[in-house]
Amino acid sequence: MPSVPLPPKESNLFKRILKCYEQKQYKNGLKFCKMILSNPKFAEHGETLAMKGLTLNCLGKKEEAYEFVRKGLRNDVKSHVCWHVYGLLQRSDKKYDEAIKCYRNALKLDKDNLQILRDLSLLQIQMRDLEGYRETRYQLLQLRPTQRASWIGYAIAYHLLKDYDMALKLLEEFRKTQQVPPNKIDYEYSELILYQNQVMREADLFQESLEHIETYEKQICDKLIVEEIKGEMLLKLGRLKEAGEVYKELIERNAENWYYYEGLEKALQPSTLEERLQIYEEVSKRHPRAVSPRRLPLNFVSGEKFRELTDKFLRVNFSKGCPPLFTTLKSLYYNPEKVSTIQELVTGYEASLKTCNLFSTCENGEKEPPTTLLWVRYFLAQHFDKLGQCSLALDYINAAIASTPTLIELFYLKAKIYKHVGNIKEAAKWMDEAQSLDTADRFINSKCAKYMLRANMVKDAEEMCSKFTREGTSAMENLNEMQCMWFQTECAAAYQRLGKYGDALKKCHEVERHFFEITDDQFDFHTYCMRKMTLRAYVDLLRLEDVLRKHAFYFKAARSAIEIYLKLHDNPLTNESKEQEVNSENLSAKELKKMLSKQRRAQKKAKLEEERKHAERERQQKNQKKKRDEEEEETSGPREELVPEKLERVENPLEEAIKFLIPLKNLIGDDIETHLLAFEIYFRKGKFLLMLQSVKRAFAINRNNPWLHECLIKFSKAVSDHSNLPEIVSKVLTQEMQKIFVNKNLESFNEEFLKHNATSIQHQLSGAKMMYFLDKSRQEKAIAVATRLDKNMRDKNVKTLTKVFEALLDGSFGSCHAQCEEYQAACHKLFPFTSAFMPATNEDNSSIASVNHTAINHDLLSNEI
Amino acid sequence: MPRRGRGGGGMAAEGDVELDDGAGGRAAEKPRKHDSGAADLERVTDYAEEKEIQSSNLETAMSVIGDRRSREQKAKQEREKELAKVTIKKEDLELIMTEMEISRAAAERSLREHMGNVVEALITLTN
Repeated sequence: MPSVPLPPKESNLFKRILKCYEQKQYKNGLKFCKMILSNPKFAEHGETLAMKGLTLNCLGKKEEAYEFVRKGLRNDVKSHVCWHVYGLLQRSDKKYDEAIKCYRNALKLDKDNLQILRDLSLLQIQMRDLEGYRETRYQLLQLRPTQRASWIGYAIAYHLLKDYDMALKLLEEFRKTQQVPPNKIDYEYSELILYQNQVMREADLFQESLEHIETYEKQICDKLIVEEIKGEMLLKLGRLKEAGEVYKELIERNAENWYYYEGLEKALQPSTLEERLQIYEEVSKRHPRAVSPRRLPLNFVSGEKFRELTDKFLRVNFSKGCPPLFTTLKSLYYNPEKVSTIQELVTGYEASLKTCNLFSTCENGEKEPPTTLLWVRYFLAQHFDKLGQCSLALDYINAAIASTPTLIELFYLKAKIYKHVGNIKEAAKWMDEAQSLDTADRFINSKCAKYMLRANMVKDAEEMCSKFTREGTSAMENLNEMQCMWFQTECAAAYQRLGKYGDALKKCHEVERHFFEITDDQFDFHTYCMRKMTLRAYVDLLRLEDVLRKHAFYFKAARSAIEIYLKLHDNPLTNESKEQEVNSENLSAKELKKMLSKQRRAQKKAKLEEERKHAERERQQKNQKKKRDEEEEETSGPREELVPEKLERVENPLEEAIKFLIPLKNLIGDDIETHLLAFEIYFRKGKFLLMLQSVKRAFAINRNNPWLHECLIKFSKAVSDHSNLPEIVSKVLTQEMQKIFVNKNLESFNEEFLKHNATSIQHQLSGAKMMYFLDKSRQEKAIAVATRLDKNMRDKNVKTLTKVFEALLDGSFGSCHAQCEEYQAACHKLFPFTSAFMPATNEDNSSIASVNHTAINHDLLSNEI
Repeated sequence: MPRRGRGGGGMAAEGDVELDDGAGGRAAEKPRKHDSGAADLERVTDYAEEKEIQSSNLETAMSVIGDRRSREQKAKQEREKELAKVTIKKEDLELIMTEMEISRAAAERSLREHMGNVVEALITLTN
């Protein structure tokens, strides 16, 4: 109860303050607050002060807001209104845990306050406190059993807790109360029915689900989903004939949906290959232009039949001129027999078309237009690129370009081929050529920007993107605002390769913030979806948000960030580092001075330019603000600006790395890289049991992984080097490591690994590195093992060889200049197009330098701990 | 949500919440190219009337729910009582917290579930 009850005039004013807040009329609200507070009797009225604070918060005056709210709370600590307002304030700053505490306090003072309960329930579902959410929903239901949202909310709580029984009971009770006449279609009722059905299906109640959907079929708006559910349920119940009918109908509706064919096969259960093919033949007869019934059989036929069907498929599509033809067939390339059939057919076409414009020389018929040959060559270029035969691929694509120099796809492919071959600068050049042919096409523009980033040309990439970003802001800023994460992750990797750790970290943090915002955005949907009854979409949203950071963008950003923080831990930057970044070894003192002053002038110029742009932007923003009548609502709490210099000199890089690691551990635990990155962090922190946890988990995924092997050896050595561990820790370590190392000493463990993987360069590299690590005197042997290039090595490709070369350069084998050059020459013979292996020229020195920054720091850390 | 350059924030700009001047407001936005939905978004409030159900059979439904809840509460309390009986050592708890970098609550739960055996608890935690 408030300590000083307001007389009728003031209490009316207070009610109006609340209304103004709800209607977002903040200026009026403040006016009324002033009227109450100016009266000396009520100048310290807690609740009014609190409301004033809340209104100020909505106007963006955060500090004052907190002041007033806290003051109000102090004056009236027993007022549930004050606690409620404090909770709202915390919530607007995204301090959800604090907000929950405030709401609970408010509820202690006013048990059955609907508004507070509602707000609390929102926070609970936001924080996924499902048990708490259910409790609060129950209370709301008891207080307001006539409100729709109470029932729905309670049912959803049970659904999310996987208590399907209760959820269905509640939904059924609720559905009965909805009096919708049977011949009318009401969207909200339709969605309710579909949601109810979804819960039934999740509970594996197939019979109930089928009966349910058949009963309410007429009242459901989404007719397609009704048929799909029927089909699925009939299959699950084993009523195959009926299921077959449903799927046939669905295919009539849409002959390109692969799930329908899957369902149809399950229903008809063809026993022979012919019967299986027959299904697709029939569909194809009724839908002659459908692609799927012609493409899907290629997955399961082989031999002569495969040749026959593929021949037909290819000819039709080459004649038509179908660019993504290779992409459609790419999934067949795991099968070497099918690959050679395709190669035979298509090279045959090429030879024949060149001479007589027919697919085959021994046929007569209508001649093919010249574009057919073009698409055949395009296909062959992609084909040989996939098989790693780069010079052949280049031959074909160049032939195609010679005949049609204005087709974007050709240059796009040429750039891709160079990328695969390892000459990224050349790739960027050709991608630039591609985009110049159509500057209004944003796709090719973005691709070009990406290739530039891969080639470490950050400024050029930004300029390329600026052709499409909003005017008035810098491209980087606009791309951040638009949450353009592909650009940011590539940019982070580029800065990382260039050694500009601060800038890279800034990008990683920006990506992390996007994920935070996306998680935060779901807040408004908790009330909205329940009101609109779009429950299926709502539950899908919740489930998506639960696993949001599983997304590849987060993984890339987190991985870059962790790698950088590890480097910064091993080699922290000091204030002098900025000077040292300049490659001062080869310059005389005078030249050095000249270069430094030039740099300083350039920096000053850049800074002035930046300031000018900033001032321009501010002026524009000010003008925009004046135009708006309404007050702006401050959307989120003040976000600290990301400053590259500060980010790369952070006090505790390992702790920062762990912040990125935790979501990976929780959500991407099935990727071995998560655990190996975790190991590297915990290794430097000296946390032995966490190291154990990382290697155990990685071991369970793939015990033969090369990086894991290196971690295991480093781990084992570290454990034996540390004799002063607590007894319990030692006990756990001994017991668990037994399962992995099985009583072997490290040398023999390593030898066994090398023997077991004698044909894999990757594994030989890891084993060799460890050979040197365990015994520096064996340097010669180790290098010999790593640089093996004999015939029976399975993975002699650009990627692996580059890795070996980088390891030779970065000190993993000590100093070995002669062997480096020897190896480079040998690789150059095998892959003449790859820039990393080309004989040293001035240009290539920079690429070698950047190579140093790519590899994760596997440096020998025997002295670290 | 970030203020998008493209047409307005999703939910409110469609005009389905009760806005008195929705139509009039929209017409005035034309001059501002990229912020067409922004002003509408500003006017949206969270305050909307909740729909009511007319039904008299709520009592049976409510009693079913009540029964279920009391059973759930009981089961939970029993489990908690069992766990609370286990004796654990303070040093063990602190060791788990430092070595595995987890919260006090999580460390305590793990230790209790392994009947106070810290080595067993750690082995499970490192799995």
